[in-house]
Amino acid sequence: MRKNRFKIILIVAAVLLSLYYLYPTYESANYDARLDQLSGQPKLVEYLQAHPVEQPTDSLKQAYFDSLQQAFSADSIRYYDTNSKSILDAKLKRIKLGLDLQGGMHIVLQVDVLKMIEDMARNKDQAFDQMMAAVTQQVQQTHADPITVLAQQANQQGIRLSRYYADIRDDNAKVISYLQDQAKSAIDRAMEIVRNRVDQYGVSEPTIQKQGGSRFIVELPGVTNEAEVRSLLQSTAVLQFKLLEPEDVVIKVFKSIDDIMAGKTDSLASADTSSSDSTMTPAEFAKKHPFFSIVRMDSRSGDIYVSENDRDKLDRLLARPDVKQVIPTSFQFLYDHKAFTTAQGEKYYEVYVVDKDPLLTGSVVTNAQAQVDPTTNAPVVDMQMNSQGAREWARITGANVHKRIAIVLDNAVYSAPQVINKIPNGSSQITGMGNMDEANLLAIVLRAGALPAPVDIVEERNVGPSLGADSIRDGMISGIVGLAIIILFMGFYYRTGGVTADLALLLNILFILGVLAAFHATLTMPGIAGMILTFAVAVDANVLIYERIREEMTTGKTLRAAIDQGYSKAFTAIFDANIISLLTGAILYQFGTGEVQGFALTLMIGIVASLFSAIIITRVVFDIMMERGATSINFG
Amino acid sequence: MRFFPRTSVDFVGKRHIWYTVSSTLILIGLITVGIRGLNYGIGFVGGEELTLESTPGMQIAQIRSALNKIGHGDAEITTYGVKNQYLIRVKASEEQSANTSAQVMNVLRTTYPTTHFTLLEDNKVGPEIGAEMRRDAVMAIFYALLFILVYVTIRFQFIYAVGAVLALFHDVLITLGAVAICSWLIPWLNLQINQTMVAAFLTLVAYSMNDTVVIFDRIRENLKLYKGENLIRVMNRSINDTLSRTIITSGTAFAVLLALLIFGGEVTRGFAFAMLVGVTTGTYSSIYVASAIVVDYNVYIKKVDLKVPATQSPVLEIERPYEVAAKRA
Repeated sequence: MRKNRFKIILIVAAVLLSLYYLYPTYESANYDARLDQLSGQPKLVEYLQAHPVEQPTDSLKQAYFDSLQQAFSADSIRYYDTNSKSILDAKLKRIKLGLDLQGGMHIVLQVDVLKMIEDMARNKDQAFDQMMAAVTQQVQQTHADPITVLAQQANQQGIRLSRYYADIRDDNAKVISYLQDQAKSAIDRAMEIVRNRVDQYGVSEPTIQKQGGSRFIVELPGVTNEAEVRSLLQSTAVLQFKLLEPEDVVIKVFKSIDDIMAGKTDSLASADTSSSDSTMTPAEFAKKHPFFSIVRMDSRSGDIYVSENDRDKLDRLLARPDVKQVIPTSFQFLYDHKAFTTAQGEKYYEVYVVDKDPLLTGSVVTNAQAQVDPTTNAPVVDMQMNSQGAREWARITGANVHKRIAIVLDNAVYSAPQVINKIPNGSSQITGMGNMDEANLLAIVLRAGALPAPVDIVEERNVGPSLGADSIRDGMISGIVGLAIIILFMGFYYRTGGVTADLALLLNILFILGVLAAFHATLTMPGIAGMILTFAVAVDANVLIYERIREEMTTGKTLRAAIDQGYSKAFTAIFDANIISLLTGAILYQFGTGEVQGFALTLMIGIVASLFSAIIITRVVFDIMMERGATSINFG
Repeated sequence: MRFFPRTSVDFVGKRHIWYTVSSTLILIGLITVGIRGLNYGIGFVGGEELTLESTPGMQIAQIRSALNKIGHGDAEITTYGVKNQYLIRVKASEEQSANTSAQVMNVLRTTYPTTHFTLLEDNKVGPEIGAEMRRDAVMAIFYALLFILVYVTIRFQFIYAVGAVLALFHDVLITLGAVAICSWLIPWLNLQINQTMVAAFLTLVAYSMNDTVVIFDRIRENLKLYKGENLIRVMNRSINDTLSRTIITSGTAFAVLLALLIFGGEVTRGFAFAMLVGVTTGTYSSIYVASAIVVDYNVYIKKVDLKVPATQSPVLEIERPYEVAAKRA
C-alpha cells in the first residue's frame, strides 16, 4: 500500500477533478430539461389538440398562437429569472456541443479587398472604372492579391492613384502602402462590427475567431435563419453620435416606472418611504422599489448599471405597455458594448439613456487614431472629420458643452465622452480610456463609420437541429455497442485482468470527458468517433501487457515477477506507439479545421488518459490484490 | 483461454507472394482512381450541398425534374441515410447565387405541394477555400510521414523507418483505392474525400504505425536475446511472439469500427469505412511490408546470406544510432 500511496492519491484526485469539471454539464442538462418542461410546449400542443382552431385567417392564427405561447411560457421565464445566474454559470462551464450536434450556423467571412478599394475611392471617373474592371478580371483569374494587381495596373496605365484616394498627395507607392494598411486593419474592423451585432442578436455562446490574414469564422449555435444572419453579417455598419438625456429627467422617469411596478399611483407615497430606504433589507427594498432593484444608479456620476443577469428582465420591463406610457418617446435605452466585472466578480452593463435622433452619423469621420498623450501619458483617440462634418460638429459641440455624447455603433455604446468645449475644426480628442486596448478598439469603431469593411461569405454551413439530434443518438448507440463488445471480450478473454482493464477503460472515459469540460472544448461528431476509437486503442496497452505477463508466467516465474516483467517489457512498445499517435494527432489538429480539430483533440486527450489508466490504474489494482495475499491472478 | 497458442509460422519466407498481392491491389485501386476519379466532398472542391428530408419519400428523378426548372438539373442527387433523406450537390459556379437553398426548397415545395420537405443541412464552400483545404490535407499527411521517418530512425534504425513509411504508403494507397472502388460500386455508402476522411487517413497512419512499432520493438529485443541468430528467424519469432496481441487488438478495433459503420450514421460512415480498411491493411503491412523490406534490404543491398543458419551477422543487430555513437566514442 505504502509504495502505491502516491499513485492512489493521483488516481483519486483525477477522478474527483473529472467529476468536479463534469458537474456543470450535468447541472446544465438538468436546467435545460426543467426549462423545457416548464416552457409549456407540450402543454401548448395538448391544449391545441383539445381546442382545435377552425380555419382562421393566417394573420389571426399567428397572433392567437403567439398569445397562447406567451401564456404557456410564463412559468419558464419566471424560473429562468430566479435561477438565471446559476443557469448561465453552468452553461458556461459545460462541455459544449459542436454545431454539427446541436444545429446552427458556421460561417467563414473574408474581407472583400476589391470592394473595399472601390468603396474607398472618391471622384471616380471612367478611367478608374476601366482600371478596376481590369483589376477585377485579373484577380478572379489568378487569385492574386488585389492591391498588388491594382499597383501594376495603375503603373501600366499611367494613372495617379492619389486622384481617387483623397487627402493624399503622394505617389502611387505611398497610396498603395496606405491601402495595404487599410486592408490589414479592415479585418479587425469587420470582426468588431460582427461581434457587436452578434452580441446584440442574442445568440448564446457565439464564437468569432480569426483564421489567417483575411478571414474569420463566426459560429452561431441554435441559429437557423439563414437570410437574417446573412443580413446581420453583411449589412453596412452604422456609426452615430447621440446625445445623452439629462440626468434629472432620467431620474424622474425612472421613479415613475418604479412606482408603476410597485403598484403605487401617487407620488406622495414614494416620497414617504424614500427616507427609510437605507434601513431596509434587500428583499424589502426589492418589494418597494422593484425597478431600482434591477437598475442601479451611481448617485454621484449619474451612471446607470444593470447586472448581466437582469438585462433580459429590463428589456421585457421597458416593453410593458404601462411602463411605456411614462417613458418619453424621444428616449432610447442603449447598453455598453461589453459588460464590466466588479470586484465581487459580478458582471454589469452600463445603460445609456439617449435621444433617439442622432446628432450626426459616422460617415463624416475621415480618420481616427489611438495615441498616447505625451503630457499625461494616458491613451487618447484623435478623431478627424471632413469639412461638412466639422461644421456640424462645431455647432453641436458648441450647443452641448458639459453634456455627454454617446458614440454608438449598431446600437451599442462604445464611449460617451463629455464635451469640454466647442470643437471648431472637426479634430477632436477623446480621453478617459482605461488602457491602450480600449483606445484602439474605439479608434477601430470610429473608423468603421467612415471606412467600409465589406465582407464576403466564403463558406457557410447550416445544420438543422434534427440532424444534430440524430447524430448524437447515432454516436451514443455506436459508442455503447463498441464499448460493450470490448468490455465483454476483455472480461471473457483475460478474466480478472480483463475486468481490471474494463474498470480502467471506464475511468478513462470519465477522464476524457473531464478534460474536455476543463478545457471548455467542443464535442463534435468526429470527436465522438475519436472517443469510440480510443476505446479500442486504450485496451491495446493492456493487451500488450497481459500477453507479456502470460508469456512470463509460462516460463515459470512467480506472479509478482511475471507482472513486473510484463509491465516493464511492454512499456517501450507502448511508449513508442503512443508518442507517434500523439504527434499525428497534433499534426491533424494543426491542419484540420472545426470538426476535425475536435476529433484530433479527443484523440490526443484519449491517448494520454488511456496511458494513465491502462498502465497506472491496472498496476495499482494488481499490487493491492497481491498485498492482500493473492497468490494467483487470473489472466485467462 | 487462448486463441493463439505459440505459433511458428514462416511469415517472412512468403513475403514475395504478398509483394505481388499488394502491388496488384494498389494497381487496381490506382487504376480505378485514374478512371473514375475521386469523389471529393464539398469542402475540397467548393459548391453547395443540401441535405433534405421529404415525407413521403420521393424518386430521385422527381427531385431532378423539379431542380431542372431552376437550372440545377445537373446537380448530383443521392439518397442519404434511411429516412427519405436526400443529398443534393450543386457545383461551384462563377456567380453563385446567395440563396440556392431557398430556391431549391421553393421549387420543390411548389412542384410537389402535397409533400412535406425539411432542410436538414446546408453547406456552402467557396472554390478558393476548397483548394486551400486540399493543400492542407496533403501537407498534413506529408508532415505525419516525415515525423514518423525521423522518429523511427532515432528509436530504431533508418532502414526500419524506411520500411515503416513504405508500409504506411501501402496502407494509404490501398485504402484510397478501396474508397474509390466502393464509392463507385456501392454509391449509397456516400464515400466522399472530405476532412473527416483525411482525419481517417491520418488516424490509420498512426494506427498502422502502432502495429509496426510493436513488432519492431520485439525484433529489437529478440536480436539482443538471440545474438547471432539468422535475421529471418528472429523476425519470424518476433512476429509469432506478438501475433496474439496483433490479432486481438486489430479484432477489437475492427469490432468497434464496425459498430461505428453500422450505427454511427452518415457523418462518420466514411471515417469508419476508411479506418476498417486501414486497420486490416495496417496489420498486414506491418508484417509483409515493414518487416519484409528490412529483410530484403539486408538480402539485396547488404548482400547478407540469410540462407545460412546461425551465421554471425553483427550488422543486423539493431542498435539505435545514438547507442552506436556512444560506443564509438
